[in-house]
Amino acid sequence: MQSDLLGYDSDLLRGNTDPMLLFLIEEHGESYGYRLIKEIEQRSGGFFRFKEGTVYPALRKLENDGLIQGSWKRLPSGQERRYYRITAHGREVLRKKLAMWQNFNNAIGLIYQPARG
Amino acid sequence: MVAEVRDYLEQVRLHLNLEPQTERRILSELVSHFQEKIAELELAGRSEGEAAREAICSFGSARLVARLSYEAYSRGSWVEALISAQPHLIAAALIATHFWRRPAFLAGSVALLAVTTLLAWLRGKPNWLFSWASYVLIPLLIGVYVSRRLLAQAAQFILQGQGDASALLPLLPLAALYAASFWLLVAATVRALRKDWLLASLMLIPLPITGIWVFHVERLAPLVRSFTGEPNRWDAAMAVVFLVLAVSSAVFVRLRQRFLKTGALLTIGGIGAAVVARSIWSDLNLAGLAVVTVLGLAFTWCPVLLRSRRDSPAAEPWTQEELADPRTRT
Repeated sequence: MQSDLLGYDSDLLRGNTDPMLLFLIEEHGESYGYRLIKEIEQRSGGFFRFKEGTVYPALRKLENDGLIQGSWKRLPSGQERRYYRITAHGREVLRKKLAMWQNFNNAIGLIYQPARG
Repeated sequence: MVAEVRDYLEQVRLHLNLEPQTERRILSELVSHFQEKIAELELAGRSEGEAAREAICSFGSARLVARLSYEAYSRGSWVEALISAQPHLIAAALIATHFWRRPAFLAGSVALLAVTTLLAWLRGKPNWLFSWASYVLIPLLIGVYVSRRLLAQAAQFILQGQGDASALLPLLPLAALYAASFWLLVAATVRALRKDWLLASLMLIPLPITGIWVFHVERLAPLVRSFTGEPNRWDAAMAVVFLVLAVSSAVFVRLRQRFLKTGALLTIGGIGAAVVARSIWSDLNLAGLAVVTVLGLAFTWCPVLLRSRRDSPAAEPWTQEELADPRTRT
């Protein structure tokens, strides 16, 4: 996904977009592109703003890798949406990525704290 | 749908270069996004036009979306890459072992290639089909080339009354051969173009390379029957060229980025023809080599021109009705 470069370097985001999408899909049981975009924006307090069109190819890559599975659903309004669910393999990958992120975050935190003595 | 969004999605479609069914699937999802986004913005007080423009602005450029979608959808599996390389490997093996001059092996290989191509054609036309299709065309085109003298004799008898009336006998089978070759070449190229001009180029690449070789071998036809003949001396070079084609086809299937695929085609189309020409005409000078390279490149790239003609403003295969049809989605 490509950011609007508002207040952060897009390199920082790279590598974290897949776990973000997987996490949100898992949390809801199933979700769709527009909802994921809105949710990332809302949860980050507007910090993360993507070029929205870049989310769909990212979802497709996750689907190609077998991490999520998509299916079309017709809404009562007649509109159709493609919903995504996380797969067992996706859950496993998400667990590993979250653990990795936690360790990485802790290590960075330790480096950035003021040196003692 | 708002005209601005429709134009925007048409721009995305023009740059997708994927098969129509995949394009419809991508566009369906984008349409769904725009419907929801515009409805939400209208609820927030924007006019329809303002909402559409804001939705397009936050979506990113059509080219960016198309490029990323292409990269997400175009990559084939390793199995597809291997299948795509198979016909080139068969050709390389036939030539490296000199078995291409044994009619049974040659006929068996051509039959295998033809049956596989036909089955793939009937079952969804996967992308790897197009590297096989060229090898079905090659024997037909060679047949057309070799039979040109018969045709000339028949034409001479008809136009000038010179020669023997028996020259007319092969006309019917020849006409069938010419028609079948022409139809197959055009149908395969058009079909490949519908998916992607890069696939059409990939399909056409072996033709100029094999053409140069066949042209020269045919001039030594009397020697072909004796197994110690001259044509053997180019077999090693041709086998290497077909091996390179096999690797290139596999890499082509696995690459995501379009510019890399284009680069791979440029390299094989131009350099492949030049290497074959150089190995056959050892006294070929630099200017001659440049001409062969340019001709090889031009032939490989002619589908781009055909594709640009196809991209006329009239082409709009994703009407609202089509998008609403669940059968067009997977």
